[in-house]
Amino acid sequence: MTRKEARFGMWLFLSSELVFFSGFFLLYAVLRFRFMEDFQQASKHMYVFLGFLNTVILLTSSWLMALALHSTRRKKIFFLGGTFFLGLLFLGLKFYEYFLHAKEGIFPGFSVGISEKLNSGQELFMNLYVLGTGLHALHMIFGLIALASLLTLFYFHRDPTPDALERMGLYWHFVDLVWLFLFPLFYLLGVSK
Amino acid sequence: MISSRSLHLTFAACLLLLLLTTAVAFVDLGAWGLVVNLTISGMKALLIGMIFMELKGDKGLSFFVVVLSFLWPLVLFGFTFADYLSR
Repeated sequence: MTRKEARFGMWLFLSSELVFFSGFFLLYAVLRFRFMEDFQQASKHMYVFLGFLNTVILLTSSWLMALALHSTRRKKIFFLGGTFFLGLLFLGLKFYEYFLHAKEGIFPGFSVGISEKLNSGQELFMNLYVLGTGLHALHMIFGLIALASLLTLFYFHRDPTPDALERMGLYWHFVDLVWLFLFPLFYLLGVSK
Repeated sequence: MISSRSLHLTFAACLLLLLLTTAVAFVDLGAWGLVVNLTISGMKALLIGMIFMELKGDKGLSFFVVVLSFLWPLVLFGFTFADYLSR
């Protein structure tokens, strides 16, 4: 497969991913429009610092991934290993946040009596938060599995083709991009209120 | 091929933009907050797309797919809000 073909195929796939996430963002937009006040109040339950830290982690992982693409074999393993580690760290912090929300008793579908703590608009915000960040986390998990297989190939000196790395990179950056929109829409909404 | 200097600069710019979004969030801008947030996120997305995803210099079929990809969400949002806001 030529580089051009690999990129074209991957972009077609990412294009379908964009459609997939658009549905989610549309849902968010309509409900935010309808429950603006509640969304701002519910956003106060977000752990802004953890979200900020996770954004820095993802941006750094994307940077390492981009550096890996055109570097020597040794450096590739180093950069990809770094990306993998940061991806794991991101997921760890994300699940720690879910744990904190569950402890607060406001994790949808898990916390009993959530309706006593939040009104219906605020509960919708939490539902959307878990749906959006959960779908994103799922994409991260798939990305990490693919990354682990590339690293294994490198480790056993069965180097993957350059276009395999290129496709991996495109996917990783796309998942990063989704987070860059999730972060302000969920975490920063209620900061000034 | 994108030089590693551009990659470093893009990373630095993204971190600065992230600081900017977070700082702006502490100011109550009302409805404009969303516009500012989306603009800054859009700038970050553009940087990552152009440099990290190497769309800069890729004028082939991939670029065509990327541009067309935005058409569908535009229709989706456009028609939904045209209906929703005129009720």
